[in-house]
Amino acid sequence: MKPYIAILIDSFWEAVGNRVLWALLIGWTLILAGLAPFGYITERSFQLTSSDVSSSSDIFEKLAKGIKGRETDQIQAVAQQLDERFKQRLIDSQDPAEDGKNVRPSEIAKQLNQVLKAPALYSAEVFPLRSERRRERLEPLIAAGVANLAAPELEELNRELIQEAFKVELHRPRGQQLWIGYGSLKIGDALPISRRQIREFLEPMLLATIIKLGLGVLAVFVAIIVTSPMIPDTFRSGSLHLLLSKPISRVWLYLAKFFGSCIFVLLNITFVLIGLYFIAGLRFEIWNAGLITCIPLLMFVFIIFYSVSALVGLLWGNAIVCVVSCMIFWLFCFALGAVHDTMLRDMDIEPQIRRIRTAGDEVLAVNEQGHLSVWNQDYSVWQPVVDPESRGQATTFGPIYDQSHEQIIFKSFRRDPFRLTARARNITLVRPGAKRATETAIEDEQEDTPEAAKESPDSIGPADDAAADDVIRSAKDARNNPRWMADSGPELPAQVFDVLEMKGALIAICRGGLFYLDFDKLKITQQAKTGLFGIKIPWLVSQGFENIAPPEFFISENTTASVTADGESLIVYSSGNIDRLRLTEGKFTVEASATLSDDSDGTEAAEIRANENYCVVARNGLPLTILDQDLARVATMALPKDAKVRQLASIPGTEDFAIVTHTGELLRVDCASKSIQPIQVAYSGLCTSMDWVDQDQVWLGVQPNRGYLLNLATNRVEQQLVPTATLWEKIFRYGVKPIYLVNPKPSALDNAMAYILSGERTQALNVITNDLESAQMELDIWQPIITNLCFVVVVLGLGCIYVARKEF
Amino acid sequence: MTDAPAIDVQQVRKDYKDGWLVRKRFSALNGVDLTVRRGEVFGLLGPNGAGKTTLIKILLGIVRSSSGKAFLLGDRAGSKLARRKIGYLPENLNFPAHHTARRSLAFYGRLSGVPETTIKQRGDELLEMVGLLGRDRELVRKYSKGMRQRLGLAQAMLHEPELLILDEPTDGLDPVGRSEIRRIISTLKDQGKTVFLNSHILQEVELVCDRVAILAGGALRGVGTPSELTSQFHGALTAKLRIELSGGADAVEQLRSRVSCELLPLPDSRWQFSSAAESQADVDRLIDTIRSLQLSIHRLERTRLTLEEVFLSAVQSSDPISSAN
Repeated sequence: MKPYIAILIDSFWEAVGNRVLWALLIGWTLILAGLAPFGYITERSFQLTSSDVSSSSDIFEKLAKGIKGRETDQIQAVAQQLDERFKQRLIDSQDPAEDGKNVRPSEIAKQLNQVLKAPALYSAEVFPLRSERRRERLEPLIAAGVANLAAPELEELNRELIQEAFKVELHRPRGQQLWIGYGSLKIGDALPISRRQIREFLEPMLLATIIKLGLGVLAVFVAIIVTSPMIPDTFRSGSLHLLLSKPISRVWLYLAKFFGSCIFVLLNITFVLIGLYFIAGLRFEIWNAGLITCIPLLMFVFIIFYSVSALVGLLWGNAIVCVVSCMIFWLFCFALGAVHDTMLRDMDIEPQIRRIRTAGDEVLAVNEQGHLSVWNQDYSVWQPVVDPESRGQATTFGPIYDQSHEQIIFKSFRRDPFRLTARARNITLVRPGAKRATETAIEDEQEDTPEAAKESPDSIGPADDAAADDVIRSAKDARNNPRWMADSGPELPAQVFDVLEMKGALIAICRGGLFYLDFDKLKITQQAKTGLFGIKIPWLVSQGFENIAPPEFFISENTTASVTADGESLIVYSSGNIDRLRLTEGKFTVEASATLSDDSDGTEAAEIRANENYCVVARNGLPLTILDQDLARVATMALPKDAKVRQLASIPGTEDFAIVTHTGELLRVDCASKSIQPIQVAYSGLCTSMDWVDQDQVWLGVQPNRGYLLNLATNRVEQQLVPTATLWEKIFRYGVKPIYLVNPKPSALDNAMAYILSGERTQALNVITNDLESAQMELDIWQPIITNLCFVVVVLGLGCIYVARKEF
Repeated sequence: MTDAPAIDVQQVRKDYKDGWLVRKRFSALNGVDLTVRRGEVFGLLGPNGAGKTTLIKILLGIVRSSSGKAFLLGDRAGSKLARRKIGYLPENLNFPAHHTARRSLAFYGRLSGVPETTIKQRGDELLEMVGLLGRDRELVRKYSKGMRQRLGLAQAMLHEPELLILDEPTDGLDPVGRSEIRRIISTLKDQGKTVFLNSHILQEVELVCDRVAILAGGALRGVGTPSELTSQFHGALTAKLRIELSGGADAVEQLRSRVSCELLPLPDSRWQFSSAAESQADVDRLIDTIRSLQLSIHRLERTRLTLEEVFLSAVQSSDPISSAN
């Protein structure tokens, strides 16, 4: 091998002697030097930032009322401590609700920060501190005497008092504030997310993007341009004949020259990634060895392109043709990848059933877009229940089937990384059984005030839905036309996390508390008939949800809840705190409380389920926690193969729970034996959701959008809902997918990169995972490596055959 | 196998195909037989397209012969064994731009399997021999063509090959450079190396080669020492007697009628007479005739055949002039 090592060594010196290499290294050094000062700045601070202000208009309105003595004592106390000019502005405000809309969160934060310094804010009468947790925290400060407090302690006390005044409108104080800094300079406001969340986002997304775009695309193409003449130059007659006269193999000469040329790229990539490794480690405390592991992966990306360049260089002997060929190859791969990824999202991910329920005889499914569909047996398709409102990574509450009134209750919100948005906050009501009555009511409205009815946001269904069945003559019609008429229900309270069914009522879990609405208040036809000035308004806010949370019951920005299997209690998980509440006499009372004290910072997306004896908490990136009925920790268990929980459910009639993982497995959590075992089903690896009918029967949502009713005792499929594929789905399944499978796909190596950087087999489609149920993309690591490797072997093989047979 | 000739080419034929749609076939070598003995400096002559480069490529294994066999030092041409024993200086040699003379020697030495210590030791000797010792750390791309040729020669000699194949070693060199290369070739010959030289410069070949082969149209036209070739060509070519003479016009006309000759008028009533004179008897007879016609002889020259004339004649002739070897 000595001669071939000589070629490799010579290629190294060739790379070192290349001015472009030095220019690039200087460029990379400058970029790294520019990036190096970025980092976290953490300070213990109770100063408010605009991201702490949830609703600036509400705060302005309340302060304006408070200054005039028309709000709670606490708000009045806060208002009194405001800056004089701002107080005057509040006094002058004639219409605080309207004026509040023009107030920016940053302005409110600035004004409230003035209050933080006010020693006169606290008084025991105004702030009795009924919340036990808050009282525990503040007692030492109050005991020391407000006058004796140092500035930071006073800020802490006042921040908690302000929070007491504006429980919902302000996010809870974090104490530790986090900024992105450049050197010692803070960039912008404190971040609304935790360090853990940044890390979750930084590693797989930001680092992967820097590596993918900076190195995977830019550096690789610069490298292709630089290295493209190396093979044509070597195989040019002047130098080639001399090389061929030496006692070496032509094939090995070609391969040695090929891999020797890669040294140039290796030097560049190694330099940048080691630089990034140290910057991420020293500045962001992310010592991710995966960055170093990315070196061979990026080399592999380069090798894929360079194998094409080298073959073309052999055939044409021209560096420009090499570069152009590489570009064309890249464009082809990019186009195929883009088509595949877009179609994969549209055909495989977004149609996935994230919730499957039965409502009477109907089977309902909510997909990843938040659309509620009903199974149409005639055409074997999922038919929209109503006109879809949200799209893409939506969160849907329900569907809840109100059996007594035969109506379906649900609501979809569009989800962005930090909040939920929808056209209107009103819940949606559908009455499959009472279709005619509803249609009649709406038709009456249209006859009375056609314009008003048309413009009314409360009516979600199309005006001509009455004849919906008549227009459905094909599967296509069924896919595109909603099945039923929908009505708008009462408005959901602000900042809602979940809506659950409990004892014949809806429970909305919100930042502001636990809101209750009895099913009896959801009779559409009765409410629709009550009108105001002749115009029928189905719902008035006053008739909506009622807060029945215990006094001072605190709900953080990260909350999830579940009703126990017996339907008697509500379990609320809120940033690491768990409460078991019982509904008695129209109010919730706390039965038990616990805090999960582990390495969590309370910001992880979570799911919680409970039965009579156990409660299971699944948190993103943390092992499963099992608690007993008193919320004492029983066990902590990691899922097999580092799988992540997608859906958690209690198995009826047992003490066990079931889990659907993001890798599509169905698992059983045996709380008694503290073990997790896979449930053997035919669709293992493809499951997306579940709904247990009894301990043996389960409805499974299966990729891409199939539904199966399985009997686990007999191991039989009792019902299968397999929708007819559309033309585009057929094109994707039988055309694009197979072509993509066998084609080289350098960009798919991102999967391996993301896996190396995050260590997780699935990747959330959102920047921050704030919903465990959202579909995650399974990182297909080996398949792209194998196909790309095959491609490189084939292309290099062709080059070797050409070199061996060619008479130069 | 030690007695095997340095180069043994047996009925080597090489056909090329050309064209995209209609594949035309043409022969670059047409059954060449050639033997180069060990220790001799052998020159290969031929016009462009004669097949010289093809023959060298076959010897080096760069192209495969269509038929026939070729051996280098007893091993099949193109085999690793054969290539290990040869040093090659290609025409239009390009060194990698990042090479210095020393790095180049090290690189090609390693490719030839030369140990590092030998590379260092031999490198110094050879660099001194080719006159590059003081400039061995400069980048080769800054070298003149002559310096590159000398470096090429040094790399060809680094692994002490038994046979050197030099393709146009003096091409593009000035007289001093050519003389230097000739000196090196003589040194190699003194060391007992076999040198196979391909050159366009006939004078060079005549000066350094022990034997010469003329290749034209893919076939050998003649093989031998330069003197053998010229003497062999005596049978095919006519030696001439050229005389500058003066005299009366009648006498000149009579000479023209008696002897088959060319007569060209010169100034001062002189004529240049040219006629074939194969032997001394022919020369004597012609002079007797001229003198008998009272013509005065001012200058007399008997032309001798050069290798160039032999080469040109061989190239233009369709038949081989003598049997090779």
